[in-house]
Amino acid sequence: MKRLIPLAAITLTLATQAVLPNSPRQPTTAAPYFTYFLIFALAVYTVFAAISLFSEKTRAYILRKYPFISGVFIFLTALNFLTSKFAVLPALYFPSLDRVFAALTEERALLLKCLSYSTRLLIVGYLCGALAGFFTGVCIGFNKTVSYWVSPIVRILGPIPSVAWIPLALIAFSSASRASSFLIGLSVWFPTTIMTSSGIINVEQAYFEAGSVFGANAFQRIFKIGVPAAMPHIFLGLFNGVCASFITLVTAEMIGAKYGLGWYINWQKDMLSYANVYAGLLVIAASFSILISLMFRARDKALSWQKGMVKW
Amino acid sequence: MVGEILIKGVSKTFERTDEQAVQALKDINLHITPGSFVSLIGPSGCGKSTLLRLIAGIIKPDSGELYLDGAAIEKPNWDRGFVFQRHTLFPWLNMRQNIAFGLKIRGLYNKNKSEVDEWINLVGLSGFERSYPHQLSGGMCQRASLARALIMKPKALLMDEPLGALDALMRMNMQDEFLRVWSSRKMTMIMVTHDVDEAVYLSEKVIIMSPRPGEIDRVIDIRLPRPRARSGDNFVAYRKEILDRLHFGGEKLEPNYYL
Ligand SMILES: Nc1ncnc2c1ncn2[C@@H]1O[C@H](COP(=O)(O)OP(=O)(O)OP(=O)(O)O)[C@@H](O)[C@H]1O
Ligand SMILES: [Mg+2]
Repeated sequence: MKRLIPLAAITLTLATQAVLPNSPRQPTTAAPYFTYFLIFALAVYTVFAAISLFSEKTRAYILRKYPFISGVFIFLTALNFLTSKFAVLPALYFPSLDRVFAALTEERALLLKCLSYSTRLLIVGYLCGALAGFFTGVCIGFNKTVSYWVSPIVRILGPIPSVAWIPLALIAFSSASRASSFLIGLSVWFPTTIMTSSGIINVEQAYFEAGSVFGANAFQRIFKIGVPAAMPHIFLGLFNGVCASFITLVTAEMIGAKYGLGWYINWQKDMLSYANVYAGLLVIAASFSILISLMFRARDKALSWQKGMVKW
Repeated sequence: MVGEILIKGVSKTFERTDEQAVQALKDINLHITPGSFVSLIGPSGCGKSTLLRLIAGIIKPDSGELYLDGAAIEKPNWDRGFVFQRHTLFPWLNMRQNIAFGLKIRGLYNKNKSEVDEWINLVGLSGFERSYPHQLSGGMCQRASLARALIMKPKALLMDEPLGALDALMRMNMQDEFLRVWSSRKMTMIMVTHDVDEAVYLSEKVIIMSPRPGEIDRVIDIRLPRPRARSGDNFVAYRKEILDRLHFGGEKLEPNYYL
């Protein structure tokens, strides 16, 4: 019974969208894309609800999520009223949902291109920054001399928001994309370094002693004991790094990039086509949240040994 | 037979930043014959753990020398197994991986996989191979620590209150376990304990230490046939002798600290 509530919510959104006329202040679109989206959502949910009649897992999932799903569509109904139907909000900045979905569909080729461009930048920057941060953190954690010389530098340079380096990066690197990768790397490097080194420094001495009575050498001390013991901390650093890298990516792309989601949003804003800005934001939200949940999966797997796992 | 330990004039003082230095051990001389079972007993803080850590090579003496089978002890190695006062199983490895840790460190794991399972069987942990330490009971962790040390076939096994965390019944089971391992593998075993009964039941020699500074007060040879009856007359006599020496024999004594 409860499983029918989202169905009712989607139908309500669909009915109001189809029956009520659009405000003349909103430009019209080539097709009622939002209606298409709602029909699609209705079909998908119906299929899931049907599966839930047989599958225990799907049922549990839907029973957990049905208030949220219903809420989303009630919110969309309200938004639809405020924008398309009565144009209560300024039509320029708050385009109708039809226009947002139109932008998503009609510009999908460009959006995909921007997405792949951003993804490449993000992956290169993130991997370089994370590896460099891990390496620096391990060195600081295990070597007193390195710690003495390097950790003050980390502490001075680290807190500078990496976008503040943009002017310098543009001079130092031949291409804008290389400069952006560098900045993303920098923003990942700092949290990873800090969390890796503090994680290693805080590993209980007893574990190193336990390892040493088996004759573990320096390399094994680091990679068989120090790093695994510090893994919860390291993951925290990597996670903070992901968030910082998103910020840097989008900001860096707004300056001097030729493609990319940050560039797309900035460009569309200058053109005053806010429907496209929202479309870009939707793509960013979807892809980043997919990345984050992948990261959660990886962490849950790597840290399954932890007692009462740290909840994020 | 191997596992002879020689300790010559060893002293150890700990510097502490906030308080004055403590002399944990003063001029310790000991000869532990190969393949013997020795207990260290004495009041808290008399340097038992420190002595054990010196033999393991985890810390270095300020003066004096330590030898294992004639070779100077410089750093920790697998030939001296250690069971820590508080179990130090690695929480990120499951029980089986913990027991296999030493073999992997030495690169012997692939040839000796079956031995890992044998030891798991021997300490009664079959069925818990994939459990992480926090999912095991205190006793199970301590047994896993024991297996982890023994699998390396050390010349000497150093145990710092290995049974301190266990209930009385489990303790007695484990004591018999120790004896079985000791008599079948013939290694030197040195065990720190607070339990006089345990010392008498297991040891060939009981070393009584006195605190501040930590010194060897007395070495008592336990000449009892095995298996030993815990309530036999001779057993009780040894027990009384040790307790007297530790000043718990009933005579009045000024307590030097209050709880
Ligand atoms: N790392 C250290 N730093 C400073 N002092 C230490 C250190 N290790 C031991 N000590 C001091 O040395 C003395 C002997 O300690 P030790 O741990 O050897 O005692 P113990 O006989 O094992 O006691 P217990 O039975 O309580 O375990 C104590 O006074 C302790 O405070
Ligand atoms: Mg101790």
